[in-house]
Amino acid sequence: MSENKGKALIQHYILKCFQCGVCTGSCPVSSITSFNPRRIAYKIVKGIWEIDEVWYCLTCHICEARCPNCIKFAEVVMRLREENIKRREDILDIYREMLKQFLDSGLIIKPINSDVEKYRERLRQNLNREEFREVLMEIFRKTGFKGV
Amino acid sequence: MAGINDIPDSGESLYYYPGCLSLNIYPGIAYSTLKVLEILGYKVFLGDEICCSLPFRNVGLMSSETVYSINALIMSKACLKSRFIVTSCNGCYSNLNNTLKKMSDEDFRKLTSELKLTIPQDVKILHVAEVVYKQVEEIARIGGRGLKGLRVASHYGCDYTYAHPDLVIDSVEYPRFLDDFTRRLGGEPIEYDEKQTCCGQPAVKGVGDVTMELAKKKILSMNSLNTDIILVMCPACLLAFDRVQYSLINLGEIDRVMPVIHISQLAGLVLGLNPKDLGLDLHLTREFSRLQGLR
Repeated sequence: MSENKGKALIQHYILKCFQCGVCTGSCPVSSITSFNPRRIAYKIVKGIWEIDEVWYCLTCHICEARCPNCIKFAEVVMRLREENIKRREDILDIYREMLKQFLDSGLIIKPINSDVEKYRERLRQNLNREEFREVLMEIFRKTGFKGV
Repeated sequence: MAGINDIPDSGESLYYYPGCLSLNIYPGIAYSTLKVLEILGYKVFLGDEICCSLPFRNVGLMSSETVYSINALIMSKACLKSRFIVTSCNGCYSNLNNTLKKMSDEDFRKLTSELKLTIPQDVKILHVAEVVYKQVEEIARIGGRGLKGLRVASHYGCDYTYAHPDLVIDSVEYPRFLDDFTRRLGGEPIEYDEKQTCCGQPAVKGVGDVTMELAKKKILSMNSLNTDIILVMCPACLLAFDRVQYSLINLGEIDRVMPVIHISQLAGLVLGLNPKDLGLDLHLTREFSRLQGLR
């Protein structure tokens, strides 16, 4: 997605916001930190795109379920993160490893310890990894995902 | 609100899609789900080990088009076996249902067609908690009212309740079907102050420990009411309560831990399966004393 298209989509969602604050009152993260969805919506309307707090959202959807204007705030957050993730090498490092694991095995995490690995033997699965990677690469190509 | 009547009856074929956490952190959830569904009379096909990629979407690493295409791949493989896809994870449930909704978008349908991914119109994404809840009387008939004497605190999980208000089989803000499940199996459901709040597990990795703070609030709330079991329906929520209790007991901030159990594992216990076979000894909080001789 181009940066302009991303911003247009974010504005499409957020322009319905009339700053009632139900989102912030409902937000579990707002109850323990200074994270404030209402303020994020205000910044977007003002054309501010680099918003550090956006990384604290849990995308739990509580604010969406309660928003009187049905604003998809979690969707806004995910699109804002798409715009900003390249600036966050610290976060990228962690997800890079998960992406590598995904391409290697189909799952984003390895068995957490040897007991788990042994237990998993009773679950007989045999993903054709070569075929999986082939389809995955085609998905990446067609949807413009270029890796990290 | 979706109806419990939409959940298939026993005898039906189901495709079970386990997801990452039910395989590589708590594989007891995947095994319990398979076993319980089989005991309840379903024909179950175990799905491939392909991640639904929700964490990549949430962090903004992949676009919705990329992630929904990956889910379309999962669904197209599943539909070769059954039109009913069952998950044991709220995140996978949410992501697969998002993809199904996205199928009404013409551009996305065109994309899946170009990728040669075929998804029939009548496919349905279910959560194993819905199936198990529908069969609670059958579980009681086979296993008895095995939760008698146990105080059970339920946590439903946001990616089930709030992410898809149109699909939840109960109230979005005040779901009580896990509590009803507990009651009908002889247990005592607990009403605790933090019941509706998020466990904190979906937090982006590497930006502080919001999970610790949020899960701690819930754990202290449940612990203060002498809860015997924390009942969850998502491996991510299980991870939050399991990991944070482990930290809190080691820090001396709590003096007892409560076993955290997925609904598939709890149904398995009532049906007479062995705690070790259900993978309960793979949890960090290995507190079995209250679960021995559950029947």
